[in-house]
Amino acid sequence: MTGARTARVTRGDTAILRWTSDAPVELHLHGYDLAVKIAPGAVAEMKVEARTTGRFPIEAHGKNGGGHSHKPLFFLEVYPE
Amino acid sequence: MTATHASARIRALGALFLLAAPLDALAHGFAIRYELPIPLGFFLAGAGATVALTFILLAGLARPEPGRPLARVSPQVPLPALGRMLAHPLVAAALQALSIFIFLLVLATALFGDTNPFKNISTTMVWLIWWVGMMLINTFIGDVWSTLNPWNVLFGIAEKFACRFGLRLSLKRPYPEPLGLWPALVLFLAFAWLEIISGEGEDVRILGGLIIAYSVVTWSAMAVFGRETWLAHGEAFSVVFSTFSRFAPFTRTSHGTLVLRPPGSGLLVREPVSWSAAAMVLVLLSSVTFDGFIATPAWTALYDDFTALGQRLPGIGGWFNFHTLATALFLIFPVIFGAVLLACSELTAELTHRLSAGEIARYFVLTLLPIAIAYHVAHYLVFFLQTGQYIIPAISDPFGFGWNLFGTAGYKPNIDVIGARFAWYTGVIAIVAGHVIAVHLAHRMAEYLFGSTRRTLASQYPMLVLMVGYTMLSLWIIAQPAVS
Repeated sequence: MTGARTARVTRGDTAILRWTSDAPVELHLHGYDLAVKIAPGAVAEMKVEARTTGRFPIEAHGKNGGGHSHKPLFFLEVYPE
Repeated sequence: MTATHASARIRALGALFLLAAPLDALAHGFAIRYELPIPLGFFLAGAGATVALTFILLAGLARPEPGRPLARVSPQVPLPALGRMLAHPLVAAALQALSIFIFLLVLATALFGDTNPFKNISTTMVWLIWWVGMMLINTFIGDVWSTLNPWNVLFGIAEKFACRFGLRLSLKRPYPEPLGLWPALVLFLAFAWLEIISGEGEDVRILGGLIIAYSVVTWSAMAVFGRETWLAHGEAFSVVFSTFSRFAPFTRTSHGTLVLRPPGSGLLVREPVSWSAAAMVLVLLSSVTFDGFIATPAWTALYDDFTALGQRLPGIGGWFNFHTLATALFLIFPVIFGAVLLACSELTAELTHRLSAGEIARYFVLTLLPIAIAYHVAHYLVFFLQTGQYIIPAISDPFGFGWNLFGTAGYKPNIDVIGARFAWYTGVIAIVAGHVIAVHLAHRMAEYLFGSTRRTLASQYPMLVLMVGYTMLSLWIIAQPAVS
């Protein structure tokens, strides 16, 4: 996968992100400090109450649980009202 | 956008992900930025204000006093009482003791503390409190670093101690004048490369090792050339911080009197700065800009094209990686800045027939600094207020061993401390203000050099175009969504 996707919400929204993957992986939403584990075949859900403005990267941990990969996979942008 | 609409869209995007991201074992993530790019409206307002104010200031130049002496333009208010208070031996001793304590604490925690950069005080202390915080103090208040510099303090103490035994710690070899500030420049380039490109600065053990290495280099050089000579020519951070402190309102005259002056007036010079000093300023300007550029989607696109090219070339394709491109660009930036400055100086030289392009460049180069300072503030404010909060738990548990000396070890930084809109306004206003100050300083410099009305006005256009362009670049960068 190349490049990163960005989703934009307004402060006060509740964003529900649903993920699928073909390999077991853990996603980490920085800033909000939320994590979700994705098993192959299943759909994992990440619920974010967007109370803080900013541009927050989501990065992946591999199955070893080691450090982050260098490139964020996704950005959640929370804009002020 | 309603919540359900947002979630439906995100769900669709999320389902596209086939996660095969390669594992990178770097403990990366200390320097994550959460600020939003400035919206288009803010960018246009900032750009418009920049151009409009430039014209207004130019009109105000219409009747300058010919050959206005710089001393009249830059008033200085002496503050003898405050100056004596700050120079009191007890004050100096207290500040220096604090500095040594922090220096040794950072070294100890870097070498022996927890390797998680969020749990170890050394990362926050070095990259936020010192590199951003001390820089801001030196720029907006006064050259505090020259007093606090731990390498200076520790070598000074060692010298006094050796003196008691009749020993001289320094050979005091004469410093070869042609070397100028080049040693400081090279050391600073190495530091900036480390900070911006390598990312190894977040590894606490490497940070500790680098501090030791730099201490060895600094003290060896001091032993050869003398403490003060090296501080003035080769100690990278003293040279960098003292350059920024030319902007600061508080300074000491050559007689040691503390004075208050208009911010930025210290950037006006009576003689052109040396070539190495000019190069140092260009390196400062360009590394600040490069730091911002390397987080933009434009850089990512360039990098993607570069690696794609490398994949088509057998054998040497392995060289087409991040480090190669980033380092090359990092070194080319100051050359480009210098070339543009010289081109504008050449135009000014031809319009005024009084000085050479090289001299003009070396008179005006410092007047560009407010633009870089403003961008630095706009770029780092949010980061400093958000990630800088890690100092609060860190002082209770500097090594990350689970201590709680002051009860703050459980503190979690609140990223809500600064709202997006406030950050946007501050950033754009800072950048426009920096531009206005730079233009004002350039006018004063031109009056000093070229005297007569028509010549001064004519001489200004190339430099103003340069400044407007540089400010637009700064605005453009903060309008880009940060891509890691």
